[in-house]
Order: sequence, then structure tokens, then C-alpha cells
Amino acid sequence: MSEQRTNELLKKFDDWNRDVIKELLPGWCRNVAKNLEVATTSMDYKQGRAGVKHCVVVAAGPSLTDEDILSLKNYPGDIIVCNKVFKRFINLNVVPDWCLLLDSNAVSEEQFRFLKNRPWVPTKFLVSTTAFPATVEIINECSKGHPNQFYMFNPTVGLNGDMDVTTVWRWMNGCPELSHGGNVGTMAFMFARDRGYEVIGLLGYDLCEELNPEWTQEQAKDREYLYFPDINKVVAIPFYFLAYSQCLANTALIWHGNDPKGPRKAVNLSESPLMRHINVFLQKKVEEYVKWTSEI
Amino acid sequence: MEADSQRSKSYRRELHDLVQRACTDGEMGSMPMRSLLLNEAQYCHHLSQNAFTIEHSLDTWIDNFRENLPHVTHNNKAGFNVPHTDRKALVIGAGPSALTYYGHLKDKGLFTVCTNKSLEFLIRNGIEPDIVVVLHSTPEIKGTINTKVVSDYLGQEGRLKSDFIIPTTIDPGVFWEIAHISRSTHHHWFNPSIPEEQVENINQFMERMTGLPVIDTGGDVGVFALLMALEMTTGPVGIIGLEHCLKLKKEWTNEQALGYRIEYAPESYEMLYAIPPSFQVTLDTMVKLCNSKGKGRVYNLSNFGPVYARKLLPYMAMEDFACQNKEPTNC
Repeated sequence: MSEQRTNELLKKFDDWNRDVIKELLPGWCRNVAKNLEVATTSMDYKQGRAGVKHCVVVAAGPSLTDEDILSLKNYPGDIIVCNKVFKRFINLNVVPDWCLLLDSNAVSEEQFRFLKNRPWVPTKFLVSTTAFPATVEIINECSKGHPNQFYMFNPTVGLNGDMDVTTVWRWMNGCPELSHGGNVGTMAFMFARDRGYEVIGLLGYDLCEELNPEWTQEQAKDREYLYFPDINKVVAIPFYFLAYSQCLANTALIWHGNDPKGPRKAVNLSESPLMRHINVFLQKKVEEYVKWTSEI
Repeated sequence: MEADSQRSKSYRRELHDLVQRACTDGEMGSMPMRSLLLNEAQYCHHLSQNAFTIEHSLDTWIDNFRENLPHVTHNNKAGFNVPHTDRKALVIGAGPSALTYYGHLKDKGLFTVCTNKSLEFLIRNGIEPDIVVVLHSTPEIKGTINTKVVSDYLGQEGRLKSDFIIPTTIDPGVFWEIAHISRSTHHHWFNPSIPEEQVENINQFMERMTGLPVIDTGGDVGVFALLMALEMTTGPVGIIGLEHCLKLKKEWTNEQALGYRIEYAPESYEMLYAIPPSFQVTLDTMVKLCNSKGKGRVYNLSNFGPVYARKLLPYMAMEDFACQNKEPTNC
């Protein structure tokens, strides 16, 4: 598939996001304003490059197990986690190299409050300027006195028009822009790509749901279903997961160019039946990936 | 929920043109577009199904027509004088729900119409259908008519009393099977209509050569059986085995399974079923046909598949349908 074609696809998804964006934009703007002071003193993640060739990006899909996390304890590459997964890692004494926060919702305060009462962790934080200000404050406080630990970015907001709001935010706070494809998992992949890793493992990416007998008829009709006879399993896919998975798969495809001899590899480590069957990703188990990348 | 639904619709609309291009791209790379591609394929399929089938089958049809012509013209004593009745009709297709117990329908006075594959299901329960509808012009249904069950039921010389609706384009081997178990006086030949824009004047030629009517079958034996039942009877019609869906099978390959639309109905005992694109088109046609006949004319008697789960037609248990006769017999 041509790059132009993929970009067209991505643009279409951005257009689809427009309605959601318009609904949430006032709240984001308020958060950007409240985070202004912190953002202007934050670091630019684009200044640094990865020191290793491979990483694991961890999203919060239900398939992610504690065993998966513990398998990464001695992983020599970088570990990049998203939103609430960070707390799970810390609780299991596995310290991620990066934690990404895109969520603008107040729920993130709950997920990061634990940082107040525990010893310093060396994880670097990359936080959206639209994130909930109280959460930003917690993360910023825990990073104080530790240079190179607190980074902020302005998320791309796909609005049509001569002037996009991300540019305005950049004028205000000087933070770089980061595209996200509508969800933090895709954003984490894009971040890893921008950091220059050659091999990116994806863990906890489900992008599908288990069937739920409690769904109403309407809820059930609003989802797509895929049947995988080899594992005799049907999974449900809400429409927005379709968009996310399409965006993620196309971003990966455009990045590695589907060239089996090329150095770039996107590797799915998740047990999600959907991710296991998307052919733009190599498929490996977590332990297998850790062993394989250790030999790179 | 409503907002989600609106977004879903908007999303589909937005992607419509992309999908069209994706159909010719061939390298979409990932499966999430599958359902959208299927929707699009279904639309294209609807437009081109007939043209495609006719283009690929015309030679076979004409060859079969030529071979069948002696039977159609010389031995055709029945003509197309199919029975007419005001009895309740039961139409049995070959879908998953058709494989059920029919023994309790004996002596209920139902007018039974089955297709080639479901003949055996009735015979197994000791019921000789009033009508057997056959449509296929290819030999793939060989062996579905004169099965061991049917042959054991009939014995050495026996013949079914059922009337057979037979297209003049039927595979001669399949007709031989029919001839073996039925009486030629019960053979009702007809010419299946072919769109004139595909082959000019062909319907007229077939009609002139055979003296038989040209009938639009709808292209699906189940729908055609229903159509016949609606023509032959003035009473209510119950349908079973016409759900136009498949049970999920572990034996399928992933690629096969991805070619089907999977539907989930949590409210109906967590029912799951697969709809191939061609079935979806036929299903839509069938539901439209049933609804066009007015309320209370056609009942769905199957508790499996989209017709039941999505309440596309009024449902009635087969026993209830059989017993709510205008003139109850043994209920």
C-alpha cells in the first residue's frame, strides 16, 4: 500500500474523530490553560533518541497479565507503558523506562495518586498538555529535582481549517506535537517509532472485546464480530476499535514497509485474537520476544 | 448509546468511498476492514450476482435444457398444473433448523413444501411432502434426493406421491434421481426465467419450445419453495430451515470464517451465527417477499438465525403453528 494511500486513510479517521474532538475540545483547552506553567518548563521528548534498538510498548487491554509484566523484569530494552498500566508495573516491582499519559479525564488522578506516598521511581513521563491538571501536578511533583524526567506534548487535534488548535497550544506552551490516532496505545507506538527503535513489541493491545451476554440487542448490533475457527472463538469489535486497529496497523505498515529483510519489526505480544491475526505484525510470546531481542 | 450508534453510522458513511478503493487495492493489510469490505461486496454482489451466475452457467443450462427436452415434451403428462389449496402450508428449507422432528405434524393436514435436501428430513419422520421443489442446474445436489432413507422408505418399486417442481434446466443426473422415486404424472416442469438483458428472447424461446410457463425463481431454492407455497395456498405459511445462515464450524479455516458476517444475539440465548454475503442478499429478498404478503401470512418457525434473533418475521413454534389450524384436525 502506498504511503499516500495510508495517509489518506489516516486522514479519514481523523475526520471521523472530529465529532468526538468537538465534544471534548472545551475541556482540553481548559486543561491546557491550567497546565500552562508546568508545560513551559517541561522537556521536549524529540530531543532524545533511544539508546537501545528495541522496546516493548504496553497498553491496558484485559489480556495483559501479571505474568506478562513479570516476564519483562530483566528485559534489556526500553519499556514504555500507557496510562494506568504504570501502577501495575510499579506494584510488581518492574520499573518502566517511559510512562505515557494521554487521558484528559479526572480518573487519571486516581491512577497516579499512589506516586505521592512512595519513593522516587526513575521512569520518564510523557504527559499530554490536555491531561487532567491534578494528575499533571502529581507527576510533576514526583519528578522535581530529577532532570530529564518530565516531558509534555500537545496532542494532534484533527480539526479542519486554516489554523489548527495544536499550533495555538504550541505557541502558548512551546511543547512539541504528537499524533495519537485517537488512543494512547497507537500514540505509544508512534512515540516509539519517533524515538528510533528498530523493533517494537506491542503488549496488552486487545482492540476487541469478549462477548457479553448482558449487552442489549442494540449494543450487540453496534459491534462487529470475528470468528477464528482455529481457536474456536468469536470476538466483538466496537466501531471505534475498528478505527484504532486500522490506524495502528497502517501506522506499523507504513513504518516497516512490509519489508521482511528490513530492520524494522512490529511484533505483537498480546494474546488478543484480533492482534494475533493482523498480518502486519510478527507474532511472538513475551518470553520469546525477550529472548529474541536480547540476541539483537 | 445513541451517540455511539450515530458515530458508527457516520463512520461507515465516511469509509464508504475508501472501501470501494480498498476493494481494488488488495493490500489493505489488516482485517478490521473486513466487515466494511463485506458490506461493499454484498452491494456489488447484489448488482452483479445474476449477471455473474448467468454468464458462467448459461452453457450448462442450455445443455441441460436440450437433454431434458424429451422428458419435458413427450413424457410431460402433468404440465404445470400444480395443486392449489386453502390449507396451511409448511415450507422446509435445508438450513440448520430444518433438521428437526416432524413426526408430530402427521395428520395435521398441513400442506408441506420441501426442497431437495429437506425431503429426507420429512421422509425420516414418515411424512411424504405434498411438493418437492428442485432448482439446481449443477450436479452438486446429486445424492440428496434418492438417499438411503428415501429408498428404504419406498422399498423396491415404491414411488412418492409428492408433486415435484422441476426446472427444464435441471441437471439430467439429478432428474434421473427424481424419476427413480416419483411418478412422471407428478412432475411439474417449468422454465426458470433468465433476465432478458442477459440473453435476448431466451425466455420466449424456452416457453415456445416447451409450452411451459417461465417463472422467476429468485435464484434460491428455499425462496422459490416459499414463493410456490404462497402461490399454491391461500392460508398462512410457516417456514423452517430458511434462516439463511450457518452454524459456526471449527472445521472452517480462518479465511473462510472471515468471509462471513458473524452476528451475536445475547438476548436469544447468546446465539451466534454466520451469514455468507450471498445469503444476506437472499435473506433480504425473502423478508421483503414475506412482508409484501401482509400481516399473518408468513410465520417463522425457526428459533435460530437472523430472522428469529432480529425479529424480521413473526415467530411461532412449529407445534403451535400446526395446531392453530383453521380446521383443526388432531390438535
